[in-house]
Amino acid sequence: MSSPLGPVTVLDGGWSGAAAADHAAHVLAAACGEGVRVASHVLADDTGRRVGLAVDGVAPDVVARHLDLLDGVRVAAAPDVVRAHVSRTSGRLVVFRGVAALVGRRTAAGIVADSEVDAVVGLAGCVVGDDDEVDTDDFVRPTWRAGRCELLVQPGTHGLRPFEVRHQVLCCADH
Amino acid sequence: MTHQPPHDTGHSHDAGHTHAHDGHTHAHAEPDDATLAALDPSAADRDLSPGELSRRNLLRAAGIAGGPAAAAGAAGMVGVTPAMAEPGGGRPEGAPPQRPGAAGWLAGDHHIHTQYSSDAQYTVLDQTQHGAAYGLDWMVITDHGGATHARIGVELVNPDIRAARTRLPGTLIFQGLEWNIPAAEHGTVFVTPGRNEVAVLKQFETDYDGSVNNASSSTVANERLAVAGVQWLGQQMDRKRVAEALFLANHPARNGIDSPHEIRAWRDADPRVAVGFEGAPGHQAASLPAGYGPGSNRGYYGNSPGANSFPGYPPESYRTWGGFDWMTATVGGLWDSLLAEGRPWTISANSDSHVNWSDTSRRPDGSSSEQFARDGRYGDPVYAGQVNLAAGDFWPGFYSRTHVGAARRGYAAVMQGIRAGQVWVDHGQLVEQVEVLVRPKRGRGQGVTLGGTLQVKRGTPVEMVVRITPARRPNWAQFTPSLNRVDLVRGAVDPRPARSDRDTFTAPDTRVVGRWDTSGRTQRFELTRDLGRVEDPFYVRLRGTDGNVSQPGYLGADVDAEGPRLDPAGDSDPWLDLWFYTNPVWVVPTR
Repeated sequence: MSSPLGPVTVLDGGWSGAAAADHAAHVLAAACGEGVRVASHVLADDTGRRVGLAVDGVAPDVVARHLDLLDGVRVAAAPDVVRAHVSRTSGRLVVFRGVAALVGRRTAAGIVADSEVDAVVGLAGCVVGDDDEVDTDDFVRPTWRAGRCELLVQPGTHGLRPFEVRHQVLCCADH
Repeated sequence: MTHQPPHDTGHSHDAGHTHAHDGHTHAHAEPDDATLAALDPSAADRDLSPGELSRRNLLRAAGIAGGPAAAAGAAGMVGVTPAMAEPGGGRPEGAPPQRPGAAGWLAGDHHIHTQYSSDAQYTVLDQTQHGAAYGLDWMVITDHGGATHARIGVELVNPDIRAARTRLPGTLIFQGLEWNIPAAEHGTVFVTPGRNEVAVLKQFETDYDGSVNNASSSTVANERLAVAGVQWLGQQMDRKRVAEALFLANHPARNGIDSPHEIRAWRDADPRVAVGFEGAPGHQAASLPAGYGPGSNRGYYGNSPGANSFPGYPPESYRTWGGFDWMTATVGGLWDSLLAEGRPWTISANSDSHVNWSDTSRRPDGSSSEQFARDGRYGDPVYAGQVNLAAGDFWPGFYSRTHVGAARRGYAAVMQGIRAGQVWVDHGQLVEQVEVLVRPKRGRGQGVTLGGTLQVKRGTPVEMVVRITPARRPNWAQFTPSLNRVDLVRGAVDPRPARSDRDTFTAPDTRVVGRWDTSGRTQRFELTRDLGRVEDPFYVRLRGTDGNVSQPGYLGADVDAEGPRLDPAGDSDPWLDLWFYTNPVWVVPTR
């Protein structure tokens, strides 16, 4: 699939959660080299819903060449996902420009200056100033919303912290 | 049958009970001291003098102590929509009159885990004797559904529950389970005690649990399985295998996987069974700061959207607001969109106790997942010799309470009270009692209370009378909370938006329309609000707070200028941010 961004490849690894898809994204990005961008999206069909990856910034044949690094991953025809990815209406960025710089405590202005993030946005009631520090915990997953790349944050123990954190709360140990 | 419910059967006054409801409640008469004591919900029977106890028993016989839920009952709560849609109104012929709740709220918790859950540890008696000591009248044991529980746990826990009923006479202890709702979150399912309680729960779990049946993903087929499960529970009532069965959805917004259309589908599958959701989740200690507590999010609401999440839910829905689930905390939000349909949907507040903050016990040596899978339970907890400050739960009754107006202290009566919507909830023992009465002005006809529908001739002026008893004794954190503000929420009833869009989760007309400064009140007080002449159907509900923290509501300051605050991650002390919420009262004009 082509787009103004260049071709977008959608990958379906049957990932049930973000963590497994993130791992695949990092493996793939390391192999594909500079300039690759990987975002997670939801893939839905009659069999259920799962996390998929949209990859751009690198030619599809390069992506295809590295798929054997990942178990059971196939290229999926997912025009909805491509559309959302290209129009930046949804998607959760895992590998993106400047991500390596978003570690430790960074100011909101610094995050915008040094990465693909267009804005640091607080959850309802949380106003973010340029100099406000975000405790990234070295884990940053901005999202696309209405054409912009936003890093959602909320008040935490040490100032602001990203809305999405590395460790999600498991619902219980039994299933 | 040695372990019959202590109060539900065999009392001679039960048979003549309904006649009392057909009479007058004398709500405006001045009660004497013995009656006041007898009505005091904080006083256990053993605290009363013989004279007061005698008065209480008389009141119980008359259906006054314990409130009139059975009278309001299913008939009162079955909805406004039929009343508007059908000529003659929605109340069945001969339905008993709806009564104001005078007294006798029974506090409870429908979400409690024990050593029969793989992520919990306490015995049934550990949990229930704490809950009883902390003031609860009823509790539901809800161990997780799953392969092990369905195979043996659901049976093994039953003797422990029956033993606890004997050891704690007067405390109602239900057996339930925490259902992994296919395609969705968890929910409490429970039934009245009896010879079929285990059989019904076991068959339900085996056939309809999302984990047992590998039906967790948000597919159409799995959503249908959930609906079938609700219907099956209703059939067990129809066939009289159990007298009552209820389902309430737990922590509904935590992972964004209870979509609005699923909630509506459960409700519509059998509105006798699917009656509500947790207005506030448990795990309220989870946000105590690290070192003193787990340093997590309040309610363990710390996640972000996943593959099965409903895409329409905003990020803010994944967090608690003043300890309450976003669906309930948002004025004009999802809960209001259900109420605006004119359909009942109750809220609750529970502990979800697994492992309790500052407890000094632990699982015994030898506990493991293999051992649990083999035995269906962990061994009884042992003394740990240290304080567990990393646990995120409170004991049942310690912080969260669901107050139910029940016709009497009995299993079926509590369940009927919940179904009737005669429910209010609070945190930190913020208030001792809340009574709500909506009635025609100038005493023309009687009023109705929480969960009920007042039907009056179009154009009739109506008013709301609220009687609140503030906290008069310290809570379990050893301070007496101050109820500093009470808010009135009002919204129009219009079932059409939800008919065309089953995923709607806003009620555009609903907003905070009144606010009372109640600071400094230490004794029972009354608030009155003119609701105007009834031209169109609407509902009202109440909310109150200590007023310590707030922010504009999710839908903006025009809707809710001073709503609960989105709880900060890692450091928000639940004792310093207390709220109560009541269920609604509907008002519907007739010709």
